Amino acid sequence: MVLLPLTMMREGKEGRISHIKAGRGLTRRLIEMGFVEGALVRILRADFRGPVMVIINGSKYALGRGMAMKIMIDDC
Amino acid sequence: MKDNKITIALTGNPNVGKTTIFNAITGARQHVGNWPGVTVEKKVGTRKHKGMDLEIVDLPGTYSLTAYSIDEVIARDYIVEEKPDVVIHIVDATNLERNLYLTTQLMEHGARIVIALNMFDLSRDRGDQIDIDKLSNLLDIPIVPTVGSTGEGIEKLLDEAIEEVKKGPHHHHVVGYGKEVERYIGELATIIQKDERLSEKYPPRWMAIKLLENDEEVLKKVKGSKIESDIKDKLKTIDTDELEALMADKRYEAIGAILPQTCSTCVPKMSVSDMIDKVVTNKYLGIPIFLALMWGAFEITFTFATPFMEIIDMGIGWLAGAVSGMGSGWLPSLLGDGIIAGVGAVLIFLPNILILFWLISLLEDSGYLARAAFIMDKLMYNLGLHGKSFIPMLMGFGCNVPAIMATRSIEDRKDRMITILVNPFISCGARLPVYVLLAGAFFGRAAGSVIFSLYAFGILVAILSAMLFRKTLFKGKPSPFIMELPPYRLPTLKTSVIHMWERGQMYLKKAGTIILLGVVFIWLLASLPAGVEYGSEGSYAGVLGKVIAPIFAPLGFDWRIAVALIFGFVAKEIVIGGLGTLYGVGEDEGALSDTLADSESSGIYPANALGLMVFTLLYMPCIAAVGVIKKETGSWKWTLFALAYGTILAWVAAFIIYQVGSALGYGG
Amino acid sequence: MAVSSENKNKMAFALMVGIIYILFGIIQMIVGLGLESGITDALLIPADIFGGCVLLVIGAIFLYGYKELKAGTNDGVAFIYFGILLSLVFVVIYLLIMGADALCTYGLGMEDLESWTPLDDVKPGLYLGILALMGFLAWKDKFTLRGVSKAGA
Repeated sequence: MVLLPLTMMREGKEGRISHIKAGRGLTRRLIEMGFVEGALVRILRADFRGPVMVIINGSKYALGRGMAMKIMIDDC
Repeated sequence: MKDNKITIALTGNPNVGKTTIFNAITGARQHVGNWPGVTVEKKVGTRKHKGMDLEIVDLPGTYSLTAYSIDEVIARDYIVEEKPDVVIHIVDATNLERNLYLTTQLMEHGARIVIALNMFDLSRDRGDQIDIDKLSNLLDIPIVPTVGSTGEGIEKLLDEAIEEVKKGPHHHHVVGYGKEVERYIGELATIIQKDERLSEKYPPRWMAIKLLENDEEVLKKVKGSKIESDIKDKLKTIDTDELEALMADKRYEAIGAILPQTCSTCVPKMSVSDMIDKVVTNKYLGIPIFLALMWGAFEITFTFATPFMEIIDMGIGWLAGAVSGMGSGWLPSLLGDGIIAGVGAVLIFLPNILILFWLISLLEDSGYLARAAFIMDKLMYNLGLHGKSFIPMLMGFGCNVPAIMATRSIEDRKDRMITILVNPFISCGARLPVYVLLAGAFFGRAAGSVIFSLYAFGILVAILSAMLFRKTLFKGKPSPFIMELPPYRLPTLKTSVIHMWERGQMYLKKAGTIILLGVVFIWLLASLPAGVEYGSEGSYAGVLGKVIAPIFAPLGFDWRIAVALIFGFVAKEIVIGGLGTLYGVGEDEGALSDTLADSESSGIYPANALGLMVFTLLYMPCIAAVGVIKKETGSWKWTLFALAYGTILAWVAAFIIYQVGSALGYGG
Repeated sequence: MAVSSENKNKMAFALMVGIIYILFGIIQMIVGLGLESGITDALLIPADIFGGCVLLVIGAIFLYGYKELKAGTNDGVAFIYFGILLSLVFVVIYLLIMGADALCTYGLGMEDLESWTPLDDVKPGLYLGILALMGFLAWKDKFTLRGVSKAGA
């Protein structure tokens, strides 16, 4: 098991959220949208640059790169 | 509940079909879009049901009651401050976990709730099994499955809402936060209860929880009360940073305990939406597909609108003819020279604007625009903006007024300010006729390229200004970008037309109000003092033009152009009408074009003409746009800044063009 | 991974349509740059650089789908369907434009369009759409919008 920021994950892979290294406002926002510890995230789009697209609990989100960097994933 | 009147608030996450339910209940005509946060304004409808008068308030979509964006503040303030009799919480049956998070917060606040389990058909069709009775029992909230589009379940939903109001006291079913947090909540709640004013208005437990979550709005409410210092002392002893995440976890834990008992959700492996996303967000093909669609949209906007513009033009011509038949005098002059010419100049672009907005609505309702924001985010980020800034920019090509209003979905203030301030540089439909006439008169076969370059130049100025503002006035990085990508939907003619109309009517309203006033004012300037020839040197407009002409002299503009530009403040297309009046050829654009093109007599050479086009592109936005900038920024300072910045930029650009052009022999 | 016979058909279709669109796109761009000839007139290819770009994009989507299918990923099918969809979208766009011009000419008698005939608005983006239409008809049951609700639902 490796701990990676969301941006380092390869397209099509899944992982569980370990923790979020962001300020409180952002963390709160992410939690409200379902990015909680242990939630299963699938990476739909992750190019070398630009935003990433993920699916979590059946909802799709576009996350800016800065934000995605702050979400740490257990790569399983 | 007063007499037989019940106030019902509709709340729920974005994109759960809230507006459709609202329409199904009230019968009001509104649109449903996919852009998160479409419902910005408070919408109220009424309905009679079982002898009760129901007042339905549609709140903006929110993910929680912890206020984060403007939309969420509106929604929360309404529930917390206005205390509706019952809250109908619309839940997306296909995504229970995230939706129920908001439910837990509503429960905490003590509001009476009825859940509408919406999109129930989708969830049923894909094979989900939800034990509604059990879920309802566990939450202690009535649940009604609904399908907004067909109206299924709406009657029952209203029955339950009325029942819930009759039940009387708020229920106290809440999430347990564990020993430690519960102790803090208890202690804070005890302090809050000492202040009758606060504890009467807000449930103490809810306040305590919000204080532990460091909610700024709630901290403000405590401010100035007699318990402020007690609360502050207490909070100092608690590490609230730690608690916040813990509390959110507990809420999900509570949901997690309930859900497995009540439903089994089957999510299809690769849906149609996923397939479309594979293509349209493809690394290589995403941007080309986007550009192709945009080109198609503009192609339709400009060619398909032509016959309709022609029809309107004929109508205006007929009216003008009828008025001139009334003889001479001030009234026919006011109607003909003033109102018909001025308002007509605005109305003629209505087909253009409606078609562009209709196409944008189609793209938005289908879900594609959210993907476009995703594709453009990388580019926009480098410009100091982010993906969400892009849709207001796109709309700016139609009219800047609804475009600036569309910036409301941008959460971060700095991002929003930059997007608002650079939006007027996106060349709106009203500026096109100025280009068409001048480019046609002075650049002949190259006219098309000149017009295209002006659009490109506007985009370039917007981009450079955004980068400049980001480096100076609004320092920092664009706020983190997060946006839900709703599933694709087949846009319907009805909803997209309603959507189009909502935006298009802003343009019409502007023609009916501000522009009408503006043209009357200009007409007065051009016809007074009594007895002067309309728009001649002796009129106030002429006098004013002479006074300010020296400012424009270095740009190669004479007093007539100066006056026309002042007229253009009402609406930029009026620059053409103004020139027509001042050069004494009236409304006939062919004649005006010939008159202007005769450089010897008109004093306009290609360099002046290009300078004039660029000046028209950049200088202060029209009255309606200024009004909306003031409204949306809430600041005269920034509004004046937008005016001054654009005008100075326009002057400098026109100066350079004219001086360089003259040096190369294209000037007068 | 073995390629199913149905996917083989799709690959052949994508390769053929993709190449045709790209070819016409390139020619239309060249004409747009000012190089006309009798052949391009006969093929009704207008001088339209941006329209040529659109043809290139559509062609590229088909070829990308072909490439993906050849590599054995089933995602390729999504590209072919989307390519068909986009070509049809542009057929609709060009038909609308033709309708508007017809209205101007016959309905309103606008002067600058006096000599207009419907043939003036026939271009590759329109008639190549027949190929896409064939694809659509062949696989139209696959275009069910399962899971795609109507907006407003």
